[in-house]
Amino acid sequence: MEMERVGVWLAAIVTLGIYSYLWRENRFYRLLLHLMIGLGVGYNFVITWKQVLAPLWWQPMVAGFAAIGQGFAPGSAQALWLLVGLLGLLWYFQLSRRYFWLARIVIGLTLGASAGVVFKQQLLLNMPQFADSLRPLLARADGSPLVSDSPAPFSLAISLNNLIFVATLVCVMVYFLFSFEHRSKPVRGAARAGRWLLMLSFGAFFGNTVMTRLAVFLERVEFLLRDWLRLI
Amino acid sequence: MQRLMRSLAGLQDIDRRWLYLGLWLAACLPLLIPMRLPIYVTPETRRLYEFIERCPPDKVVLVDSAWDAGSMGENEGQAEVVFEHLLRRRIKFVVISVEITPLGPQFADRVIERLVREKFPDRRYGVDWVNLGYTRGGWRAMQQIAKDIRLQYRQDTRGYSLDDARHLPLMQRVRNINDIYLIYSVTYSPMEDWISFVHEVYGTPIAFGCAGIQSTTYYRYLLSGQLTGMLVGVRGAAEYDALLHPNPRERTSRATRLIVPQSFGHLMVILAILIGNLGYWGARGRAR
Amino acid sequence: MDTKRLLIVGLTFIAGLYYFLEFVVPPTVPWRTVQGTVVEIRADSVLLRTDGATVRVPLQPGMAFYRQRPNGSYERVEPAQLAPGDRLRAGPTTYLSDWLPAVNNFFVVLMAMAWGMGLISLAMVHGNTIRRRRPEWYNSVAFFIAVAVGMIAGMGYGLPGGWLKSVNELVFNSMLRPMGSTVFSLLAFHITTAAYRAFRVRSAEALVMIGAALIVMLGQIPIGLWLTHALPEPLWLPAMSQWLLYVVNTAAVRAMWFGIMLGAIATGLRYWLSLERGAFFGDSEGR
Repeated sequence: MEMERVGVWLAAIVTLGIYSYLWRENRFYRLLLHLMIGLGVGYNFVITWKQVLAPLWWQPMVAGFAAIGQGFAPGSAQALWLLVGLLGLLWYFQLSRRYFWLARIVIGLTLGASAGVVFKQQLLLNMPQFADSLRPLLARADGSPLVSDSPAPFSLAISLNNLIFVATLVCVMVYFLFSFEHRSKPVRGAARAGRWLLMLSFGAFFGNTVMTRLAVFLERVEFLLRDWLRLI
Repeated sequence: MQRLMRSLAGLQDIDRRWLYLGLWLAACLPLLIPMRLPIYVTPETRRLYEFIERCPPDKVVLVDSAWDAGSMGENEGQAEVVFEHLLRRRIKFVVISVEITPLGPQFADRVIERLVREKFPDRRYGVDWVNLGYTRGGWRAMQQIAKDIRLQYRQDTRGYSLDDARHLPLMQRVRNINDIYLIYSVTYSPMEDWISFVHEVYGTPIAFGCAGIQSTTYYRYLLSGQLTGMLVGVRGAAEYDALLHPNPRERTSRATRLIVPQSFGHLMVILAILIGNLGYWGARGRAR
Repeated sequence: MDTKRLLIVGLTFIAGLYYFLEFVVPPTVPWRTVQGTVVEIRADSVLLRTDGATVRVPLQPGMAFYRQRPNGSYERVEPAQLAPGDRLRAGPTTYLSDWLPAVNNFFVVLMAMAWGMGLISLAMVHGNTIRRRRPEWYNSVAFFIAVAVGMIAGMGYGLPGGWLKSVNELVFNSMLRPMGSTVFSLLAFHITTAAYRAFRVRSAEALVMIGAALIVMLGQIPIGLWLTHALPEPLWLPAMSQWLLYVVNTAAVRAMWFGIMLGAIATGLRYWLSLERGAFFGDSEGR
């Protein structure tokens, strides 16, 4: 048997081994899970070194020390990456009860840096969303408001869609903002409508979830029938 | 009536393994008995296709291929059709994989190498495409790549330096965001940071290839123009394949092969919902 | 507050402050920034035309030049890259944006350095299992062998040939790829049983949800089109599903995500100002 067929057989065995779980949870399935996690961790470890730490940290640092060796040639400053390496070691104090606080220094630094950027991240992402939500309720065929210089004719379909869009947005926001009991009738009505509209959205979520879950399974079935059994 | 209700109520406790068997059959039969069904092309797919068609010759497409086995069923097809389009039009592309999975680049390699072997044997690595591989840093990596790709990447997955003009002639004209026409991010759940930190800062168009489940939250970016296009699940990839090959006989992508079994799978889930509800009504009717 | 906690809170704040200021502070000092079209580039200065007047911008350290790109955004350029006719914004730099690549680089490397944590903690768990001969300890032995093989496979990726590459291809194509995919595909079975057990029409609201789910499930597949293609186009299942996704769903999701945005900003502030409590953040005594 050629090498490629061995590979296909191995893949088929692990696939069916994991599917044996559908009949009943069993030893072979648990063994395969351990193998999968181990292989993933090992692969991940090496790739992260090769692709990230070696080119962005180790190689510049080594070059920096080489430059220092040549009498502080240009590029010697790169040797300072050594300090970042020492700082990076602090991550591993998470494993110690006594010196855990040292790990908090790097955790704090990275958390702080990620928290400080949240304004940029969220505002840049969402400002165009606000702008796009203010839609003309009487719109022309090109989407511009009726009161504009556009030559396009009035479009009932776009106007209706815009009306539904804005109404849904407002009702759902009212539903979330006023989640407590409220007396005002219009608010209560809007919140109720918001709930119904949310149900439509959740239905769409479920439909799309089914699509995703099945796709992964179908890929496996195709492998078994096509590559392994060669039926298609 | 009582008897009918009782037998309907029996539908409430079917062993799950019967449902599993139904799902296996729904998946296997359409694969064994091939058939074709009409494809409805949605605007989000068409926009991406037409946008790539208009790529000028001096620019490249940056493909963030950050998917792995967990979402292979959908993402592999989405990557395949776009790679095929790029290779066919001889649009140069650079593959990267930001943050999500270190396995991403090898999955992309597999798809591209097969396409080159089977359909485009004259396309060359380093000239027509480059795979820079996995990197970490999320939005920081994106900012670095936009500013100067060499800040984040010093070498490709084969170990060649980005400045190695002999092996990577393509990279000699890819410096920063100005050389990039489009960023196409394919993964289970593409990072919105591409929009915040690249599209909103530099105006570079972004497109997503995402799992169907995630697409539900991305339509809002299509409406606001922050996304240029999107491929949704197997469906989006099959539509793209239909645009690539107007003649159905020429469609060979994984998505086209899977979209019919996908249909039967959906019908199986709908059937499960129906059976469950029939049982529920039966039990309720009997209780009354 | 003791010194340890003060140190951690202070570093957290400073790290966040940089990224916050980088966003809110303009890249050049606003009141000394000029904007105009490049007329001429000299050895020591650039001449700009602004509102009819010509302004001379000296080329000196600390001056930053931002050229307008065709789509309206600005990019930092060196004076040598300028050409007459460029739209330019020039002024003394505020340095924050200039430091961004270096700061990003620092954090990318620092965060990547935690890459051994996952391996070490898993190794500790499995090492214990083997030492104590817990039930199914052989699975833990298999784990260690798999880690070693996974590492060899990782080393083989990208090589032109050789045994390392063969290991890589076997592990990748015959183990990692099928295993990951199969484990995730088990969810297809779970969602089918969930649809059978939980998706019941118990109320009018549930009916609405199931109706939407059915339209989307059928609209996303060719059978939906095949079933309805005799009807006028707006009644095609794919068209109805698209309408649901683009109009009702998008509006509802946007409303939800505006809430999530506020939540994200609030959480960000809590982390930044060290107001968050939890295992990583220290208890009230700051230990």
